[in-house]
Amino acid sequence: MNDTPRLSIRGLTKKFPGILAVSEADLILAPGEIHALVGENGSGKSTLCMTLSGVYQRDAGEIQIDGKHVSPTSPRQAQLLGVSMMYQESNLVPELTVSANIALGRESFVLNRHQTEVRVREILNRLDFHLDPSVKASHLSGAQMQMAEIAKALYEESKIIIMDEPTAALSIPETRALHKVIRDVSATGVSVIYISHALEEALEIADYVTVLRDGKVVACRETRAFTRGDLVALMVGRHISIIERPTRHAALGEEVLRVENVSLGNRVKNASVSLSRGEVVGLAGLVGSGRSELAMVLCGVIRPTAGTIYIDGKRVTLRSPRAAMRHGIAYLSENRKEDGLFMQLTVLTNLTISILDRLTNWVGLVRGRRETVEGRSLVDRFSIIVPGLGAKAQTLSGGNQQKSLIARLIEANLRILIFDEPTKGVDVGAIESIHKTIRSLASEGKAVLVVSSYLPEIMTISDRVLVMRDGELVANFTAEEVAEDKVMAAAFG
Amino acid sequence: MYVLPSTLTDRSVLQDWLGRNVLLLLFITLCVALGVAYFNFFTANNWILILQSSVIVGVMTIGLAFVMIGGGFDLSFAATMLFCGAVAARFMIGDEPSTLAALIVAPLAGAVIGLANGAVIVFSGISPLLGTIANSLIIRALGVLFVMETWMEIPGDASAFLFIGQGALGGVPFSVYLFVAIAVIAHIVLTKSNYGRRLFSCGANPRAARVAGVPVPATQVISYGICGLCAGIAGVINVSSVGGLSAVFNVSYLYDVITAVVIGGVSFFGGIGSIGTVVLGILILGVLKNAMIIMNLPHYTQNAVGGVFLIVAIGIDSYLQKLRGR
Repeated sequence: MNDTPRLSIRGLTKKFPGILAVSEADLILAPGEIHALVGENGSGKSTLCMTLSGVYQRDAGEIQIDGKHVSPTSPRQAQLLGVSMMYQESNLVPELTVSANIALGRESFVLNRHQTEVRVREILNRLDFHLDPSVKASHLSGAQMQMAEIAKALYEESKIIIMDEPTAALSIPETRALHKVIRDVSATGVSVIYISHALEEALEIADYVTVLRDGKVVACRETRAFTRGDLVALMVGRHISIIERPTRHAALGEEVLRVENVSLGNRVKNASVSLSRGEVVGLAGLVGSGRSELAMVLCGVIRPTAGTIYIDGKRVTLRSPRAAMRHGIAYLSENRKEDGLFMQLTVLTNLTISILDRLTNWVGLVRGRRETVEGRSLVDRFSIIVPGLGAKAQTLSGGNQQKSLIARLIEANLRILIFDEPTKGVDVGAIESIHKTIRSLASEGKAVLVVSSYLPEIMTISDRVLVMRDGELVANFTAEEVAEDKVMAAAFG
Repeated sequence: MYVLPSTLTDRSVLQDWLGRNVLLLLFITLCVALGVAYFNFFTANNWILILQSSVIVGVMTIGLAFVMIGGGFDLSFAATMLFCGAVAARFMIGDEPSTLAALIVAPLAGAVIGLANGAVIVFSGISPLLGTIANSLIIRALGVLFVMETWMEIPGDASAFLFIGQGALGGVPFSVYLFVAIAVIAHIVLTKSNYGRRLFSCGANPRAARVAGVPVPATQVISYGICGLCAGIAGVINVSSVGGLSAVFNVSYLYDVITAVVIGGVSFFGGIGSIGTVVLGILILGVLKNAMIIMNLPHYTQNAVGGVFLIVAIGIDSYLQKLRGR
């Protein structure tokens, strides 16, 4: 190996409004090295790589490729510098052939299909890929798509390939095949940055492992210097949860919601959950583990492909969120903008849309004064900062938008509440008040399910913690048993 | 907790007011300019003409506004108008003419056609623009096949029926009162009713509306029903004012209605619109057409001007949508 590193990143810093996404990160990559990046959701792995691949521009620090200072300002420019990024979802055009996909964006002005195919074949042969260049991308399996993406990176003469969760959609044999391919590619001198949630995978394939936490590099060592336990400890490594765990008088009521063997394609597999009056259940797991999908099934947003749902012991079919609400289930989506607010409509309409029937008189007109009173009381109770009830929802800050949604939901006065990321984008003070609200709902005898990526949140408010991984419910901890590292271990598998 | 947004300075208060009243200013400017240029513009006769000619377009514009506020679109209302006009004429030309039946059944037929039209669009998920064109072909064909005749003349002794389109109260055409009543009801439904709230929510963000427990498909289908009802009423007014209906009747209300609704500030993107501005849109279009007739512009020049207006109005709508997206 050459002395000059293929890639050298020093002191790289990337800020987003209100967040330091990556803080003074260093990363050295030798030619032909496979380097794994691990860390929790939001630890800065993707941001780091997207800065390298030109999607984001860094705020500080330097990047050198083969000893030369570079500042890619677009993915296209990064490619010209030899950096390719493969995303979780395949970027292949389904209607084009493998070879057309591989050459896409690199065609000469006059298309020479024959010449392209010869070069593509040559690359596929060199990699020993069993892939027919004339077949359409839509016919490829998950692993074959990843192979085509790798071939595309080599066609572009990339020196560094970044793979973001390449095995997320692959089966075990496919994963194995891909790993062999990655080793073969690295043997040709191409360096690979491998982002993964699956720690075993990282330990198996990588030469070096870098652990990120809260945007900082907390460890960078040769793979054999790590054990799985080390990695988890380094990744979690939080000091104290911000909020004290409340004391609870666990007077569990009767079961109100039970789902048995619910599936949603392969995103949720055979999940069984039970919720009782007066308890807060936390649902943890990585992004993409099927948490949100399970929540959506429970509140009628998506119909499950299999399984049964019981409310108060009676079997029900939830055809729509409206039907779920009639059965007493309220739902807060994690997508505030898409599935929550009406940005162009007034704050008042946003607050009362789910309780309109209660505010309507016999001719179908909304009782204006009662609606205003209701709106004012919600604004006061939830400390929502608004210019006025008639202001458009888009004028509110993110935290106040979230509080408005929670207020809307709680005012609907339903028995079963499902919150997906209730404190997403909310400032610290408001987080605490939302947590208090959730706890008090439980003590009023409601059943609450909270989906969250933020472990301290799950730890703080839950009476019970469920963990999902790859669409399956893999753990169920009581408040006494639960600990951050146990949850993490279950989530990563 | 209430705070004023820090950006609301004196200057932006003015801008805000201008933004909200731009249509009113446009209307007044247009009237003043025409009043100065043509001394007979501000005569009572001319204004009665403007209002009367705006009524049929106006009633359908209000109907279309409902559909668009709910996030849909309709191009079949003109066909529905013809169909319902023919239904009304049928009841008037038989052996036992019945004004009451004509006045009840024709608008109801419009509502039923509108509901069917809406159900097809909403439940199939077809693009409303294309789907309602197809439906309009079907509606028109059914009308010609089963209801219309080459020329259906309303008997001259059906005075009650003819009063709707031709009569006047205190010098003002009866149809204008009818339009005002429809506009007031529409305004109340949109701003004060449970249904109106839901309709706005469906147009503003259908996914969020569904999650919030709004019955989105039903709400949207009903908006097409309202549009059909309005088209039915417009059909009755049309037959009554013409005194008959021809199967080859071919006045293009379609473009006028679309132009009026867009000038009236109803967004193609759903969730935005008010009857006040729609009425202004109708009046602006009416005054503009009146001016072109006073100026004696050739028919196709009038069409071209109308087209330019439509493009500008749609352009402004798209531009505002882009601003809102930010």
